Amino acid sequence: MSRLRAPLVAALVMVALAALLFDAFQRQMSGAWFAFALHPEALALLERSLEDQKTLAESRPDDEAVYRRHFGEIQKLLQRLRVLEHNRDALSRRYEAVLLGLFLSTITLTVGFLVLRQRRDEKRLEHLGHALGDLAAGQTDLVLGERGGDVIGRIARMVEETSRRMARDRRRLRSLENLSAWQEAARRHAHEMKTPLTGARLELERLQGLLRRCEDGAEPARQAADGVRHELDRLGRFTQEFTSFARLPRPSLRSVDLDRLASDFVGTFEGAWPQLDLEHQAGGELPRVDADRDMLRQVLVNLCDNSAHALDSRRRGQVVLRTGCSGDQVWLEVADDGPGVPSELRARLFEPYVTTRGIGEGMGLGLAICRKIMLDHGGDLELRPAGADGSAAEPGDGAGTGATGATFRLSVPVPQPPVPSG
Amino acid sequence: MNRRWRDRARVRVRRWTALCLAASIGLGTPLYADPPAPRVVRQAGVLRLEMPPPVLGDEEIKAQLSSGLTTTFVFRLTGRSGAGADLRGAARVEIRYEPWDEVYFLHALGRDGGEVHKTLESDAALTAAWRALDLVATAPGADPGAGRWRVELDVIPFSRGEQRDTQRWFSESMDSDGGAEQTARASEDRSQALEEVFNLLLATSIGRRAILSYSWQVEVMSR
Repeated sequence: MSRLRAPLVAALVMVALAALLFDAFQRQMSGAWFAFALHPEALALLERSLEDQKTLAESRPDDEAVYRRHFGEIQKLLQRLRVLEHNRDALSRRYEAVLLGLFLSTITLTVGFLVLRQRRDEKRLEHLGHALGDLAAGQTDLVLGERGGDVIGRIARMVEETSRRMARDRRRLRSLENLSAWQEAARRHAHEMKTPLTGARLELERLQGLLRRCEDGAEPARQAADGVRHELDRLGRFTQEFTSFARLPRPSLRSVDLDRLASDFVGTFEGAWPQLDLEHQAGGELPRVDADRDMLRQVLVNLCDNSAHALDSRRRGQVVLRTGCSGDQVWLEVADDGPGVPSELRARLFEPYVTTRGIGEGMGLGLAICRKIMLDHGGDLELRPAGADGSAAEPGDGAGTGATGATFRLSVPVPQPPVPSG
Repeated sequence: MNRRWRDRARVRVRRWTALCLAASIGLGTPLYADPPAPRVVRQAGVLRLEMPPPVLGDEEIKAQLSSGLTTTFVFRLTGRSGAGADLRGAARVEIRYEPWDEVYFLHALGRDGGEVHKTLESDAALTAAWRALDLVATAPGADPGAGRWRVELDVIPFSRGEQRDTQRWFSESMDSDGGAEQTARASEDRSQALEEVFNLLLATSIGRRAILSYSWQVEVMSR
């Protein structure tokens, strides 16, 4: 309230001054109008014309009725003007009072509105200050509920957007740290497995060489050796998967049109999954992003692989690729019409070694690698609910799957123009 | 030198003081004396107002009478009843000059409802009729007391009908569309409504204020 005192006093002084000036001005105006309307000459002329009507009636008795009627009309007007003349001061005062009242009401309403608005803005600023404090203290995903289109509203929305970005960046950072730990573990496992695997392979080759020299009775031993080789090859592939996850290359960024990428992908991989129909829904004009085409394609292949694998082998499925832009991100969604992701897996879906496949059918590293690729792009990979319009809820909301299938969203940030210095 | 200046200043102050005193006494004294009071007679349980004061000769009233407007003379009496309670009485006289026929119409109304209608063809006849008025000023059975009564007379320059007529005419004249019919049609228009309110506020300021007022303390006569 103390902040309002100075502007309130200033406003009151201004109102008083304006009222005084207005009153003085309109007093002159109203006085002039009444003097004009009730000019003595006009009244005198009317009186003279009354006499004239009587004179005319005397000189032309046949038309007396006409002159008498004229006389009556003039007399009526003169009487009304005389009544006004009697009330000249009262009329003038009322006129001035009404105008002054209107003027003061308007000014008072305006000042009242401004004061109320100022108070409201003070409260909004206070709210904004608290929100900025929360932001500085590390709180994210702030919702200020400001819908105003003024400066405060715009700043509030900027604070909300900043807090959202901070939340997103923190999630990304946590994921990156988590994946980095898993990558390190995978690297060590691969390293520890490769040495004995190489030794075992060498010994097996030697054994197979010895068996080839044997003439008779070595066939069962040869078959056993082939079986061992087969298992060692499988182990080798798993080790290779560990290695691939552990040694993901950095993306080689080039300017990419995601819509075009999706379209090319559908064209190229149309028959790659016999039970899948690929479709591309263009998202219109989108800003180009910096991305590694090959790595993005790898992500898309992986997601389509998962969709194909999740489908019931007796029916065909459809995968729709659609693009769009929200905020500072361009996204590419991969939506299938399969059974969706089991609810118990949703929270851990992107963690390494999480899979729905049976033992020996996969390591569960595919989605982890995909997410790592997208995080390395400065973007993200999320599970989204499949909506008709492609819009989706925020990540981590527990939705994203169901009878309508699963929708994954790859998002890549739009490159920001450099901020001019100085 | 200094002392002489002080003496002159004292003399000047005394002169100004004397002048101011004389002026204030002069301003406090009425320039014109009030006309003689009407006669108030107590008779048959009512107060009668007789011989109204000769105010018709007043220049202002004469000018007013010739204007063609209905000049209204309102008498108000204040005193006590026989039981000592406050009691009020009143009477009204309206005079209108008809300039075409050059006659005066006089209409007097007493508190008992008694009316007098007269058409008078000259100022002298009017004055005679005025002085001959005998009006009942208190309600029948009011039992007015004797003693001093306060009699007040207000001269109002026009009648209530003329006031209403002028208010209506003024309001219609102020209406920019120039007619009540059009005003009614455009009543939904907000600016029109505001204008109407403005006109109404102005028109209602046309009141009936007295142009002259007299007051007397009268000893009631019993008959």
